[in-house]
Amino acid sequence: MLFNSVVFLLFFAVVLAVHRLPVRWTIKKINLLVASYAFYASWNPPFVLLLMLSTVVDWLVSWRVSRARSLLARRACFAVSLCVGLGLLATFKYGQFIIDNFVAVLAAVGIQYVPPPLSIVLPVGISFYTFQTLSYTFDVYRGRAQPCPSLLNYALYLSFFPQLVAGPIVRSSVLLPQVTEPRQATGAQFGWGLCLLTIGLFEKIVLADGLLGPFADVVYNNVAAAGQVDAWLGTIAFSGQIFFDFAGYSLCAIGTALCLGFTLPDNFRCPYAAVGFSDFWRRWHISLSTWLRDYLYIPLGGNRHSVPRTYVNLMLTMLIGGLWHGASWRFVVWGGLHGLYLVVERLLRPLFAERAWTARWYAQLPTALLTYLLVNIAWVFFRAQDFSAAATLVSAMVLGNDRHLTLETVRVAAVCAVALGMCGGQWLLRNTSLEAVWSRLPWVLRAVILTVLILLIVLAPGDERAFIYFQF
Amino acid sequence: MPSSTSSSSANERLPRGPWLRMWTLVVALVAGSLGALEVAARQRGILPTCEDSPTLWALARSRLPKWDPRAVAFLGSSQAQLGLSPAAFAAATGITPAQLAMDGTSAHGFLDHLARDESFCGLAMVEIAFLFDGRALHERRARTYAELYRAFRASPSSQVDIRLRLMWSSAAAVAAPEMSLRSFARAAAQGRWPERFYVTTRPDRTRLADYHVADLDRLRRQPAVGADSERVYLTGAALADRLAQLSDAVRRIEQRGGRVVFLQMPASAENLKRAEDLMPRTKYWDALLAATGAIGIRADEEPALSRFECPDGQHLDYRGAGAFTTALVHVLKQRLKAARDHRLDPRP
Repeated sequence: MLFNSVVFLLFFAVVLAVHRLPVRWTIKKINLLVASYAFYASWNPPFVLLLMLSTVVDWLVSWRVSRARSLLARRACFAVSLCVGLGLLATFKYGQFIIDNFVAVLAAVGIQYVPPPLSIVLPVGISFYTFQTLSYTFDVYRGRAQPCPSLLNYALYLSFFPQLVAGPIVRSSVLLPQVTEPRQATGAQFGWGLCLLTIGLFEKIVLADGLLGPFADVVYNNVAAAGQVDAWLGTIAFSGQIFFDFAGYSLCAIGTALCLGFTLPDNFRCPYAAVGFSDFWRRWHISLSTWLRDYLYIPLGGNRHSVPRTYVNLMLTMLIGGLWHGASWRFVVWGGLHGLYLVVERLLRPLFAERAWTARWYAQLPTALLTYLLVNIAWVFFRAQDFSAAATLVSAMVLGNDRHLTLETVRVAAVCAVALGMCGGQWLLRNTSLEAVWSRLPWVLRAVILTVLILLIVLAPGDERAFIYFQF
Repeated sequence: MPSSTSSSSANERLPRGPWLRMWTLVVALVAGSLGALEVAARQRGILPTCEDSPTLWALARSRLPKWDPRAVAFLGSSQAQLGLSPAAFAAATGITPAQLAMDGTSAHGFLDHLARDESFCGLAMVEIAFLFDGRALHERRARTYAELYRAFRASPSSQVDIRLRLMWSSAAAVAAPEMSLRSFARAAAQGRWPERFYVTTRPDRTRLADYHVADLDRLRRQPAVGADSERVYLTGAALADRLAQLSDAVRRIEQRGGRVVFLQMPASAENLKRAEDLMPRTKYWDALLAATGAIGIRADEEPALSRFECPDGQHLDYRGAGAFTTALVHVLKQRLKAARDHRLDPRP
């Protein structure tokens, strides 16, 4: 069930109505849990069993971990959780990838092996809920969190439908306390939740799917014919598409949860206004980047050891972060490029440390622009069909060529306007929040803006696209 | 605790304001604007229409009865989608066919898809305009649609969602593609208002072409279906391969008690001649029937079917599509009867 579907609106209305009935909190939690499983099962019903398995195993393991008397027993219990979580992920998400690479390695040494065909369907959102449950068991294992006494509470924490399939990846310390206490949205929460849902749908349906996605498709489906300007335009369109797609999804998730009285953390904060790559990762997919930092980079040693070790840790974190996105070497290269950017930034940082002019706009703006351009080059590997297409496009972007695509002027103008608006808007809002800006508007103007957004959503072309991050 | 993302709680900085008043105003403004747009659209002759999307195709495909010899599927290109009327077919036989034909598409990948479905043992009506086009896009499209159909069947939410969308799009002119943002932008760039498109789509994927509102001069200048410059006409070994594939698909369907009928739709004399020049009958049509042993019906050779005119030279107007389909059913019944196949006869 997609947020941008009619069936979701009906589903949400029913869930909300039941949630506001004057009944006990346990009944409301059961309503939310059943709704969450129904939401998940609506894609492919059998896969809800995997979610249940993950829930029960990690809930039991967390109790065993907390009661284990020896370190060995704690480690053994934690290993069970890791094996189940990562095992499911490895089977369903990376099974085919592992086999393909195994076959390629054998072929490289002259052994021809033809494996039996696998037909594995990727359960939607498996990467998200696996990371969420791993963070919980890891926190319990490290003694940073207490095991959740109620299976119902834990099951609702893990499967809460607004953030189940594409995040934000919420820590147990954020959502479990909210699940424990009775909650119902206040008028302000409900009103603002609906605003966020509307803005999120506008970003997804109108900007990502209606304007930018089809343009990016034209360029990426005709890579061989794309010239320098086409390649840049197509990639800029994709960078806007993926931002509006994912940020739009996150806003929908946060807004939906808020309507039910739950608060989820932000996932994006004007990432294309980032000054440098550390700043970019503090603003892009925040719940994943902080997860990778806390559960991978820091356990690997972070920057507590030697400088070369810090760079190795950084690179490993970004490579694994890239692979998390999809079972393809292209995502690893995308992560590797970001790792490289971060390493170079760290290397250059001492040169500019404690220089006042670096904080001025005339230094920050070009740095932000450079960051944006390099982020765009990395996006090519994320979007292209294969390495050959990515190489062709990067070559066209950097070196230029004498080819060109026939692109509709109206579409080019629309893409340029949206990209400029997006970057300019994010630059202006980089140190503030959507709520702060909204608070400054008179209520009639707010109503007019929402009306325009809703009308544009209704009048948007009916391109049917799932959220990009659902495939991860 | 590790540093978490909870610090940016949206709850802590909730905007304040008269939310109820604001949302009431929004609802009133949206309802008023949509009402005004609906009136404007209908005044410009724009009619409610459905989007002929892959999901709509999957819905039509899912309606094809399983294990039923009386199941009927229409396959082919726009010629079949505009020219074959499921409603007229149902009126003449009592069987509602699934309209699975698609703009600019060869039927061979879709016929193969039906042949692989063990539960299909009905009648496949295959229009042949793109059947011998060698471009890979046709197989890609058939594969994509088959995968999408599998996903659609596994997803209850998709099945409910498309039905809800159809209720909205078949009732509101404002939901028509002519009223979309893209259409508005294109029209505005040319300094005009969006105009009615001459084709409308029904929830069962019937497409109705009303050539009274079309720019016929422009349409007649377009290359004939199956005769455009980008086509790759199969010859030699590639043609033999395609014939073998088709023959295999027909054999598998017939082994289950099903039947395949190949169909050449009506076209103007000029377009028929062009098609004959590009795809000589002996090399393609006769070879197809010889290889597959299937029934073949050519509109230009059946007196009851050759009288229908295509306003744009290659497609039937919706006014003619119903009558053509009724006449076709008559011819079809005769051919099936000759083959001792009574699946279209009324049930006792």
